[in-house]
Amino acid sequence: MKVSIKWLDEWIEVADLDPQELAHRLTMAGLEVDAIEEIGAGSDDVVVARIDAIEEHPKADRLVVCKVDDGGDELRTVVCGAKNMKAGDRVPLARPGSSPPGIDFDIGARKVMGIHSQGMLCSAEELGLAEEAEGLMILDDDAPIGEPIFDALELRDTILEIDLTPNRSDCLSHLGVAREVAALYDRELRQQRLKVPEFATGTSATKEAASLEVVDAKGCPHYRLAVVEDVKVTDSPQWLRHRLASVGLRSVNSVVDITNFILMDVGQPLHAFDLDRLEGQKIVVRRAEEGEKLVGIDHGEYELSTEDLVIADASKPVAIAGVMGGADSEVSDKTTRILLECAFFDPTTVRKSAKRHGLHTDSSHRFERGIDAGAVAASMQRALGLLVDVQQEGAGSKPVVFADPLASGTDEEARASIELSARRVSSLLGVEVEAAKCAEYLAGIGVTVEVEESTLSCLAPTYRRDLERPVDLVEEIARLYGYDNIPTTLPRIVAGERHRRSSNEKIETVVSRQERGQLEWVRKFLLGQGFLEAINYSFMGDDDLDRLDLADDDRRRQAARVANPLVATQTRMRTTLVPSLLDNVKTNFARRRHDVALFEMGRRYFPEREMRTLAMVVTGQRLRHWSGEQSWDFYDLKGVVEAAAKPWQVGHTRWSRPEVAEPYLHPGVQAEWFSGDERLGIIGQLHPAVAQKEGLEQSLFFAEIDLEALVACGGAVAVARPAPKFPAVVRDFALLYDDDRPYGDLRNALDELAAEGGEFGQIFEGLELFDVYEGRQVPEGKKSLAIKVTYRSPERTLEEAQVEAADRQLLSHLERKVDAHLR
Amino acid sequence: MDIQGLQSKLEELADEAVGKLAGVEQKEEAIQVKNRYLGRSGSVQELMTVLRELPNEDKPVAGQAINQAKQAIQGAFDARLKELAQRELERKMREETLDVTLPGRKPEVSLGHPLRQVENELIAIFEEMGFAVAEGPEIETDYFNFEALNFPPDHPARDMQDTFMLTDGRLLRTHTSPVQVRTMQAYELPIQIISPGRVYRCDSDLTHSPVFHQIEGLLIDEEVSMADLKGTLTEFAQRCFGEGTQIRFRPSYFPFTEPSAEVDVECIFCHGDGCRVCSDTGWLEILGSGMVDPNVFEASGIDPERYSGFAFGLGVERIAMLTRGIGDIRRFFENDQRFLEQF
Repeated sequence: MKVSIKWLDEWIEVADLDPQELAHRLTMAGLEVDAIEEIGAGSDDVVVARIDAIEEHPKADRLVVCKVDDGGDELRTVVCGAKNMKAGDRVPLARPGSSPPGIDFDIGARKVMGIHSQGMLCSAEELGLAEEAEGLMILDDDAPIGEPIFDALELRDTILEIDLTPNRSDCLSHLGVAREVAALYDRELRQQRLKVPEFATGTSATKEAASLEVVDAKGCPHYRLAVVEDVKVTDSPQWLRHRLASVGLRSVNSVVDITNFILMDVGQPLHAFDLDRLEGQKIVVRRAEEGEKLVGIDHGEYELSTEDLVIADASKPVAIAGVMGGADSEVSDKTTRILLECAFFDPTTVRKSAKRHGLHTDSSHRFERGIDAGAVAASMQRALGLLVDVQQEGAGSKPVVFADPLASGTDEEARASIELSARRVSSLLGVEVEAAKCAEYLAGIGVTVEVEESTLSCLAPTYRRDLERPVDLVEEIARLYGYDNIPTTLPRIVAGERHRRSSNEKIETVVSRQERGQLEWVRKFLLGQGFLEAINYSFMGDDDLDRLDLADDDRRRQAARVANPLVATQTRMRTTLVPSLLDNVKTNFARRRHDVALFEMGRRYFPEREMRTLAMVVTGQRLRHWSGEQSWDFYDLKGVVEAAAKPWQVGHTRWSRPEVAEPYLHPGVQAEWFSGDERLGIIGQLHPAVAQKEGLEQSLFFAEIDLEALVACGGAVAVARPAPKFPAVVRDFALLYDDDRPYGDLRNALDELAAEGGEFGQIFEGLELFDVYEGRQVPEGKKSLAIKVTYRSPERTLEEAQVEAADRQLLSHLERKVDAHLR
Repeated sequence: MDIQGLQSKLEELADEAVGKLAGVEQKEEAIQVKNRYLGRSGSVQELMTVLRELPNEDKPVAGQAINQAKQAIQGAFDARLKELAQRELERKMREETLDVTLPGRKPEVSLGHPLRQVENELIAIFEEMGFAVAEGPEIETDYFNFEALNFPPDHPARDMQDTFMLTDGRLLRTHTSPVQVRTMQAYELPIQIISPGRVYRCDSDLTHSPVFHQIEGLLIDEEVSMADLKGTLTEFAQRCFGEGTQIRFRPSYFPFTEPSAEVDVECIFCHGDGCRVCSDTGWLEILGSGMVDPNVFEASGIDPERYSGFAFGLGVERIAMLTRGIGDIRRFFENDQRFLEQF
């Protein structure tokens, strides 16, 4: 909302206030002033000048050379391209060094085709006073020569740009802001301006010229209609054009400008129809019928829905109520009879229509938020009065306003009564405010208050639709008391007590410190391992799952779909973090960073639940060093993943090749990770075909770990084992093993034997694989596994016979179970 | 040979041996030299035959002289070996000397994504002040995101938050306030929580991201007042931006609070003098806040006559941009390692 200080000053004295200070007061009262614009500032060297003589330019047909008098000692020579002026005209002159608001460069003294030009004569557009203009701006003959143009035109003004919150629709007009200023500065509105104008009406009654039928009184509680004839539609007078321009509105014609003026003046949107272009001289306020259309004044065609409230003539809609009028019945310079609408439309109805048609107009903006339901009739009167005055001044003729305007519904007198106790005010604000003081504040904003002991009975004014409940009044009191004046205290600390869940079993929100700490440890661990932390959007594109070659029935394909995405890459909620990380790798490759180690902790979104997930990607060198490099590989990532699970003490986990291979991973280089039956995640190398498609020439390794599954493992505090008292015996074995048999089988067989608790199990302590060898001296189809087995007894030093018995049992078990033979 | 002859011979031999040992450079050479004198057929050993031929009264003196010679040679030998070993050690250490200015094997480590760092700092401050952390789903229903927070359907207040809708009718939460509603409905009073997390709005430019992070707070108890809200946020601002940091409250509007307030923090760059970052106002708009609206209490079955509370919210990106000097919000989500490594 733009507010002109000059305009505001018509309503209440503000010209004496420093605009900065006023803006600050308004801001601190909840009307946030975003910007202050000084019209005419810095344009003191754009002045009124009189053209003394006009000569042809010796070298250019299209240019003329003017001698102008700008009040200085000598005439100035100015080269000009305009044609609309004659000697004796007064025009704006931008002296060298000045910068008129409508031009984005400084005016210089320069040669134009050989003639030295000392400045520039300006059009209205160049002064920022019109959106477009042809020719120079010709000023009145009595404009004082040499005076700065903004002073001569009385255009100096300060514009406040106020960012209004949706509850303060009452301030969507100069009157509204004036009321706020009155309350803040304890000043009175100007009585003269508050008076509703009076004018003589014609002898004919309105109903003789038009008829009104409001079918939908719920959508339109109050509708008024006036008929005016002998109207002359002209350009608006300068003062009106300037007023509108100051708040950013374009001048259209005298009638439309008057409706816009009233809108900005008192906040009431109006619409003028050309009566002779309405069928049946009739207005019907109803819902649109299926298939009806309207071409708006913006020349867009709107297909109406049966939920749209429309203003119709005898046969068709001529306006979408409160949103936009139709082009067909628009007032033009040929119009002589107008029908003026002034109404209160249901906010929700207007909002739905505006949204449906993607329209947001000054009118809909106000109706949606609710206009003053107590001033519809008065606003209509203001508009008609202004219409009469403007035409009389401009065209010199008098339009005839028909008597007795048509009306359906009436103005609201007052809003419901609100009871407020002063105690409530004090306890909510944390400071004692006496009842009398509360009453004073409320009276200041137009609330009618009766005080009985410490209870206030309040009637909010019709323009404050946001005041409905006691707490709404508390806010007003706080605002006027000044938020700054409320003391600061500290509440008692609550969470020292535990948050206890009540009966609602389904919802759990409070996260334990232990759980947060566990996840935080993982983050820090990975950072310490040299990973960088990525944060990606939660979205993915439609084709992201195709990039991963996922099957049609893959669960991840059931990704939630965004109905109104901003871009095509953000149409779905991600069900895997892999595409985001893949893109991050490409971003880094494009910036010539080929060593990438990233992790992200984010959610995957499935129809039933959101799953916290840890995803990682590594490629290139793990550590670059002059002494030699080490490339990331599968086992690096596997090791990091296992270590990262430390906080949950998951104990024994196992890895296996998935039964159904993950399609985006190398079929031979991928593994699923389990704790018992719980799948914890997957790691693997990006499928070479996918890598090729993505244009990636390096090996990439991905991990995607389900943090929900890990968190479910809980984690326990580790309890120390006593230090061993007796020495261990360590045996090394080299075993011949089938080349294609996973090592995991051997490991499992050994664990199985240990669990039996026999000669081996009783003294087995640990196993270490320390070499895997294929090649010379190992038969075809075999590999050699070198393992170190540690034995120990908690009770005594082991004897050779005991160890040998365990060895024998171990070797025969491995031979039987996994066909492993001593080399 | 008489005793004098023997004695002088021994002295001569000892001097000769000591001289030779002093000149050897290898351990083996030293052994050879030593053996040449002290070995079974070494020159000193040979003189033992002379000893035997001497008169008995001379024998003790001769024996002593031989021993002296032997000790002198052995001593010279031991000393030389020690010297050689020392020299060898020194040579080896010289060889092993490193260029300590060459780079070490240093992993490129970071303290984490700047957003996560800031989020954790903020959470830590609120945890110290007694707030517990609460979380909830990001895909929400209209009820939890709007209705229960006093946004009536078709209310202009909904325009304040451009909402991403899902095709199944649900939506992406536009704030973390739904977590507050869930907590109010599932936990006993009093409540003192913060809800950090991702939120979504259809907006994208230098300072707006469709996905961003918020931390919101909620405290409900008996007798909680706006003064308590001011005190709590003042305490927060001082812990976050430094002792003595000023804040100011401006009336504003949020559907879920009444009274509502925008909270400005004294500009952290110019400390109120006015600068480019604060657009010369001396203040930075950091938080939204207010007293929980009675309609919000009623929607969650809390008696507004008995309980009162306050809520507040702030954007993690905004604070990260201010404190880390980042001008474009999109840089947080590009995951360019050159950017991430800086933090």
